[in-house]
Amino acid sequence: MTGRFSTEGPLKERYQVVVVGGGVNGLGVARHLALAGVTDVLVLEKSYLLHGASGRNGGGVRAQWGTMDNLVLARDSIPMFRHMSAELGFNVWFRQGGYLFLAHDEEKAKALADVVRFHNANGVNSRLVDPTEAHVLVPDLNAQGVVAASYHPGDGIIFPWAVVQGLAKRCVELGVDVRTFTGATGFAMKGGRIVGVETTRGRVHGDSRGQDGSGSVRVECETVVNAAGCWSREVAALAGVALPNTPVRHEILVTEALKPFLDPMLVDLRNGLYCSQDMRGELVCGIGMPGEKPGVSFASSFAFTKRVASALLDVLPSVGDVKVMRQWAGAYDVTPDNKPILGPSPGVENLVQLNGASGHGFMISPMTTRIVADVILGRKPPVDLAPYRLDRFGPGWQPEPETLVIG
Amino acid sequence: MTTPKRIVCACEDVNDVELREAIEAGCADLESLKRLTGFATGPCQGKTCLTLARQMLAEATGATPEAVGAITFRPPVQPIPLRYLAGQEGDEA
Repeated sequence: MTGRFSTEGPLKERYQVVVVGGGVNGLGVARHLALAGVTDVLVLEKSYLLHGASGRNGGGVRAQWGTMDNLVLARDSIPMFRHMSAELGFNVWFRQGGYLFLAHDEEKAKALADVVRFHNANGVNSRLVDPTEAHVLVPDLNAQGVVAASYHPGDGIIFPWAVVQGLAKRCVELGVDVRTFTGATGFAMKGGRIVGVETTRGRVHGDSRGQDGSGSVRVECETVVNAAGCWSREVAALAGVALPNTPVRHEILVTEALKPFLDPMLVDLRNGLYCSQDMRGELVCGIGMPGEKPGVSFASSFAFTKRVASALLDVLPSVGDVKVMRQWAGAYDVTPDNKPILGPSPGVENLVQLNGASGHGFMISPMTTRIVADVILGRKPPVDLAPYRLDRFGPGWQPEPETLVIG
Repeated sequence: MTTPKRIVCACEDVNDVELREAIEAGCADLESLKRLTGFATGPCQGKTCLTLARQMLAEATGATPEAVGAITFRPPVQPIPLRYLAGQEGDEA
């Protein structure tokens, strides 16, 4: 093991860019900026690395989306994930075993046929498979009742902890200032711009809930990036900017490790179950929980455990004796159209949004961080920014339905 | 002469040299140390390794073991077969 994952010593008085949030997005945009020569960047993480959704998600990476705006970000992120281990000098455990979406009635089967046509017209080589082929792809699958499934072999899984650790290490190597246990508590404003960021300083061992109260340190800056995940709305409010984002809890469990037996990620469209086998051999499973109330909560529920266990044994009956090892919760940062918010803020142009990814932020982060870095650098982003800008939620705005939101 | 490595986390095969390197790389709290080395993420969920890791972190940082604290413990307390959680019939373990 070489290199460091955070910086030490006092903060500088001034940075070109301050990034609020040390997750996959905050560190990702800092890395893109540093690679372009802008290394005068401070990344603020209010807790330990991986405390937020970047350390709590299931690691799914898929191009199978139902709208163009999500598909493009996800599709073009996959090659970037494929090269990530080499670029970071850190193994991110990417495995392309595909995603298999299961439809158990004619209506959902028709919807899958429609999205497969949409994928194929837009550079995603998914295909519709019948229950027999689904059974070949997943020999342990209970294919009874399956009408059709969609399969894209280029989809896969990644180990989120390793991605964030690799990004942090590379950021520090490139000269970025990465500070854990340091949050942003306020912005100094002047003429509709942020001119400074109030930070907490202090570190407490093993307790992310407290700060040591050693006082606030202000740093000046030209640009602020809001990459605070489920806390993004609060961070934006510090600058007087209103985000339409809503935090929603999502739970996951992991089982003991097994020999490799499950190649693709399984998704059951009846209930939002997803299940993959990670590179350590564990099953990682989540499921949609109807009636989940908005708010940031990391509490675990037994209702989830029961629901996900029943749903999982329905599609994979052979794993009944496999033991659940651990469960936890994180929070999605959900926007009204399930698309991220990227780019400058109306009224506060130098507050750049990089949030609202609605549960798929990790899998699209290679692209979203690249786009936001391009905005800051004054370069042309690889895609049109308009569908992702905060000002899209204006009068007459209509959400385009995203059919492939799961979990 | 080199000091032999000692196993700290038997579930995930993490030894004391790996923990020490992670601490030197900037892990100054147990949650970071857990996420970088994988200690306490196996079937015992830290029941055997947490005390040792806490002791190492305390010695390295000069903090007391009490101040180092503990990781967040996750349910279940003991690993439980999925079929019990799904409410299916079966022999008691």
